[in-house]
Amino acid sequence: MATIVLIEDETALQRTLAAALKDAGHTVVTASDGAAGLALAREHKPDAVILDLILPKMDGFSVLEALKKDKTTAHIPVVVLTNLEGPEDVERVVGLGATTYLVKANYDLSDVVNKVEEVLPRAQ
Amino acid sequence: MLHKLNVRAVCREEFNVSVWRCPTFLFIVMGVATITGAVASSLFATQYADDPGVAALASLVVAAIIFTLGHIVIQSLTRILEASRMKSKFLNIISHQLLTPLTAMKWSLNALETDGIASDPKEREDIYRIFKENNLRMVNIINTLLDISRIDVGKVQLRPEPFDIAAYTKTAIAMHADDCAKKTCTMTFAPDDDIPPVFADPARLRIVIDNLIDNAVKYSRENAAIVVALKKDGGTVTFAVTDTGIGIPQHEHRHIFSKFSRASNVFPVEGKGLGMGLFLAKFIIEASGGTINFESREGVGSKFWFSLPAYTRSSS
Repeated sequence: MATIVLIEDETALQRTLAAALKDAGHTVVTASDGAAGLALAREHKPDAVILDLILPKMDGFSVLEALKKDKTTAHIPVVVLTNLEGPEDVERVVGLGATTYLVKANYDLSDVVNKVEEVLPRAQ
Repeated sequence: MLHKLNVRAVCREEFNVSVWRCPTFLFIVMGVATITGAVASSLFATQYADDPGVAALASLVVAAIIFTLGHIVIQSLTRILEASRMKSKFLNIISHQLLTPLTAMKWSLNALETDGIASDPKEREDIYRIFKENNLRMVNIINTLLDISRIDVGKVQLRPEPFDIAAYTKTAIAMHADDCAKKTCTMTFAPDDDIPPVFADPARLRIVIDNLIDNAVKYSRENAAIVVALKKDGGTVTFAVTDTGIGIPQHEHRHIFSKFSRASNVFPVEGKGLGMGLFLAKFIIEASGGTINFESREGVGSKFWFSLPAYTRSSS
């Protein structure tokens, strides 16, 4: 099963999504701010990163940019999970190299787990 | 149709502004001024047919008056457009602020429907707590919105009574201790001895104290030092919270107590917030007979304080 780094500052969302991913058999490493999340992704080289956009210390856009610029992490699929739904945000995130863009409120927990599993290298 | 002729009503109902700020009324004034000006210019031109300089001067004065009125009309339109822009911004902020607790509640329910999670008592208890906390968060957001709309229509009723501000400040600091600890910041409480109660609406004053402490914690950086002080000075009690946070850019100082105002440097640090806290705080403190103010430097920190009359027997 996969290792996933989950970068989400909302404790409630981090907690529930981590529980669902673990229940699906994955190993989940969590961070509550952008800088810590980026460090965890570099350390663990996970199979996927789930990334919120509005984050303390370093926002999701900067984390995504840093992940894609770093040769050792550029290949890791990034699922952006946010409640920002402006077309300019989607465009920017896709331009920076995110694999999927999900608006949190539109998905059930199981749908998010499925979407993340779809981007795992093994499933491709 | 006839209703449309009542300009005062049109200004109030359609634009929600007084007649002197209302484009419809100002446009009529401009029309009257233009016609009067044209007639006056024509009379001057006839009267001073031998002296074109006077007629030209009269036309110039009329043109200047019409130009000024035109400028006032444009200003009133700009203000109305700005209000409309603020409404869109407000809807955007509110939607985002409501989506987060709603998602948390939906995912909590999803988690409780997942056998692997629900069968673990510790997990189950945690998820129930998350559900309740986010429900409360939504209720608080809606209550804040209701208060704001009551302020807009002038219908807020404060119920002042003696309030032990020192005891509540202590409680509020304890409530924010976890958030502060997460950022490894320290919060010190420095009250004068024997702080007397103040005379204010307890529910509303709690909101002000919570907001000010919450802002100090939210906008602090790692290892920041926050000091909450209470001072008595004659018949006044002053509450102050000083942080070493991100501060507020100088050019945004004058908007900081306005509705939906959030400093431009908050977003990378903190996504939560309605931009309502300081607007509400200013209203509540001033409606309670007090004053509120702040000083701040971007990158250095902020100090917010308010003063309220101490409670005496004559207060009530």
